[in-house]
Amino acid sequence: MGKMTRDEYCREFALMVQEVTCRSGAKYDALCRIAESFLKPYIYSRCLKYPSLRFANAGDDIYHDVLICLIKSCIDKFLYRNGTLNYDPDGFLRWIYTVARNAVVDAARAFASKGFFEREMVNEDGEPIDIPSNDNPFASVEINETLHECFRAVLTFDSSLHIIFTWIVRAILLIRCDVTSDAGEVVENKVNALVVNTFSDLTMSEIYAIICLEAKKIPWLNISEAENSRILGLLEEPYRGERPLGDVKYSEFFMKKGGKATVSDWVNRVNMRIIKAVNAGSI
Amino acid sequence: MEHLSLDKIIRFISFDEINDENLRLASEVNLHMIECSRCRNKVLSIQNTLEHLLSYSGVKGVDVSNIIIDEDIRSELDNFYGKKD
Repeated sequence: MGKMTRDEYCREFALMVQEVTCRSGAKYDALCRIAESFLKPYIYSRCLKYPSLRFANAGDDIYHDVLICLIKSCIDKFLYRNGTLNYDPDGFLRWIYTVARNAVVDAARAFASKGFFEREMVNEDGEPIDIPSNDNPFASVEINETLHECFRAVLTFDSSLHIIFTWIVRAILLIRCDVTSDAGEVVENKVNALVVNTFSDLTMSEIYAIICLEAKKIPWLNISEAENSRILGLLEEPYRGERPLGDVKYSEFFMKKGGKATVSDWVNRVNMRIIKAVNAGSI
Repeated sequence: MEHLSLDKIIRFISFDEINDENLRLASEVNLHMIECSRCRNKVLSIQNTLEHLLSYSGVKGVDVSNIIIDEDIRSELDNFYGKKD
């Protein structure tokens, strides 16, 4: 498909708005045509600038990811970003180019972070060479039964959900971030501050959604159906007789001593319970 | 108005294949978000936090909420709008 003219684009944009907001069922055909016309050639030409992306034939994958991102984000991040229809064809074009640009930069950064030849490459015949990917930062964590058991046990503790969630999201952040000092020790304050900065404004149900989404990538964090049902049930229960617990902001649970100190306190409490469970042989 | 279930939001945010089932889910969630600011904010908040978490790992996570116009994009747009420097 060649690049659309401006008139064609304006027509496609109008059609796209109609399609993605159609009450009887949204469609994304026009959105896909716009992406194919503008972003496909852009992504491919941009990939040529990065040797790693060029040799890995990354264009198709990046274009696919961008398309999914546009389908998922077109309403909340552009068309209804402010609650009412943002009918702005020129702004939309700038936005989709930004999404595509960021996807290429991210992919290049991902390649750079794990080395030039460590991802899927093609041989002389264009066939993929199967090299294990290190795309997932959690994959480098040793999967052992103790770790798995530990998380399983924490999920079943009868502590308040905000305390359990704190312990889990802190563990996720520890692995995501470089929070070690030169001596290799975890800088407690740094990671506790990250927990506060990242999650303070989120509600309990939003934090649980993030834990579930991260669990899909973390081999040692499995949430069983029974646990999931139990937690969802707890999130529905009224908190102090008012809103459901799931609608309460995380920061509302902080003690007077402040977010960081509160997080530290809660993590220590869970750690103590884990130590007891290990000593008792139940982990 | 009945809000989106957490499970539906999780499935919407995590799907990574374009197929009929996922497009139906996207249609349902996107249409609901047009009407419901509560769910729109919830999805946005979760998406933004996940991008934030990815940025911590130094691999991904450039915020797509903000429009960045670099030279390459400007040149694409100039070509499209027929401008010449």
